[in-house]
Amino acid sequence: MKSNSITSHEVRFEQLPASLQADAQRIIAWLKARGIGFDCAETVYRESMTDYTVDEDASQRVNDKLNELGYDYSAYSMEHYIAHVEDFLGRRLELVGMEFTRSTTGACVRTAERDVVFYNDTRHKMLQEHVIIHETAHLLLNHQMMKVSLDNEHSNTSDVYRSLLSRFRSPEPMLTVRDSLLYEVNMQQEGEAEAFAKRFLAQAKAYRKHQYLTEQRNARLFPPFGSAK
Amino acid sequence: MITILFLFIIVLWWINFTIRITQHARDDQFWYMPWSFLWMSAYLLGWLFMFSHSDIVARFDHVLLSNIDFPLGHFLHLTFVFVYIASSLVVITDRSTLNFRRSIDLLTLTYLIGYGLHFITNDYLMLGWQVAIVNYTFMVIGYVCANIDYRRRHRFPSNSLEIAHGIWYALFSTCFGVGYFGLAVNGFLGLSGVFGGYQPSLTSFAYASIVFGIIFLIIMVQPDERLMRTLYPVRFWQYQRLQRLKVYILSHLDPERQPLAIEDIYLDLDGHIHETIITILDYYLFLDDDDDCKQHLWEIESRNLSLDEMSWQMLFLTFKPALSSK
Repeated sequence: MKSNSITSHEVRFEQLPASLQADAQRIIAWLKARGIGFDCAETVYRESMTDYTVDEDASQRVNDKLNELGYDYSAYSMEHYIAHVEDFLGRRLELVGMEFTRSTTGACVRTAERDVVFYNDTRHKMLQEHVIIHETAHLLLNHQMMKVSLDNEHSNTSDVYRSLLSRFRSPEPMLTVRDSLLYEVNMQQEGEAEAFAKRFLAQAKAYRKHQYLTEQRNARLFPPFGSAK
Repeated sequence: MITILFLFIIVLWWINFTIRITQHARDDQFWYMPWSFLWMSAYLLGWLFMFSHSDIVARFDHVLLSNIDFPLGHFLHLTFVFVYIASSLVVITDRSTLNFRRSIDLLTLTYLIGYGLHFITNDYLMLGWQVAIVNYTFMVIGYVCANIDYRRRHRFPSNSLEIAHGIWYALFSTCFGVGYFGLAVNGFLGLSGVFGGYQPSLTSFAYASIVFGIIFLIIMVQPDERLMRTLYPVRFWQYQRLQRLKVYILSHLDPERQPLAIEDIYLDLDGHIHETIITILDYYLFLDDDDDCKQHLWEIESRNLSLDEMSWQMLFLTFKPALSSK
């Protein structure tokens, strides 16, 4: 196991891939329109940093967090899950659907008073659901946020919008230096968030499937009957 | 041997049916359509199966009506055949068509003529078998036509539950159809004396086919959760196909866009299928615009189907496996 103490994960806005810049701009515009400031993000950022170990059995961290979350999968709905996460984190959590480019399926942003999860609402609902769970996993697992520093042009010369504390779910490479510890941490944390989403949804869907099959009661026994009453 | 097998399956069927019907009778929903009709049809099939074997029918008559020369079992058998064919036609075919009305009329006429002839002549057994042959043949033709008509008017099964029921239904109806057609042919051979009359091997084949049909019916009426487990081999094949599609898509991406290759041992087959489809949805948009696969996946995604329905739709996509990755 390697231990690390990454104290900063900061990128300038211009260092983001072009497609992500467009999506980040949309997020910033949304936050600005609602007067949600980033000015206290530094505090949140410091809280979000932990000593993170890069190890081979990161899945154990995921299982521990799923057990700690103590979620009732039989009652699963997105609203129910978000309420549960809000209680768990002790912070308000907002879901926002947005039209992103193909490069971004979702993002999460930490602000002073709330966490915001953005998802690409032009994509399939199943993907939206997966993305939302993935982004909340970053918050639950206390993963390192990326601090996107905005220059005056992008922040509209306001100190309030100086940096965006965020995480993007994107196939675009976020970091260019591949052999850095930062890259390794980032990759493992993305893997953990994906594992969390997959295992959580596997449990939730198992309950849903059981409920659906029980309701059907052999309704499709012979071909003409296509749906249960 | 076949008689013993028949008796064993009859006992198995009635035990299974009794258990299932008592489960459903406690459920208020059971008294509504379609469940009430479905289970009555299954009940009728059980009786039909019971009276399909001539030895069993003869023993039944001997036990109940030993002093009277009347083929009660035979009459009951013909009645069950008629009711089952008629109800299947009523349910499965388009009731508004002229062909449907003609079918019902012809079936009813055949049945009434058969019964009428029984009372006019004393040769019950011979005419009984003649009527049975006509009914068996009609059942097979009617069943095949009804299923063709159904396929023409209804969509292909779109989710795992419909596919599971569809597979077992196809097996059950094929075996029943083949079996009764065999009995009809053998009856014709026996009455006409062609090819030396009754063929015992054909009788055995027909009865064995009917036995398999009732076994498949027993499987089909199991609770849906149990029935879904029988689909596991098909679902595994489905997962392999989806994996090949995923590999095709990823092989066309820039290496910098490759997803994390994390094998998750905590997922079951459904979880792995879900994971594969998520990866497909994440990355297919990065295929070339002139790639047919991309167009088809876009159409599938646009329809906002369930995960299960999408997984079946994606199976039929054509793509050429990549010879080498970029």
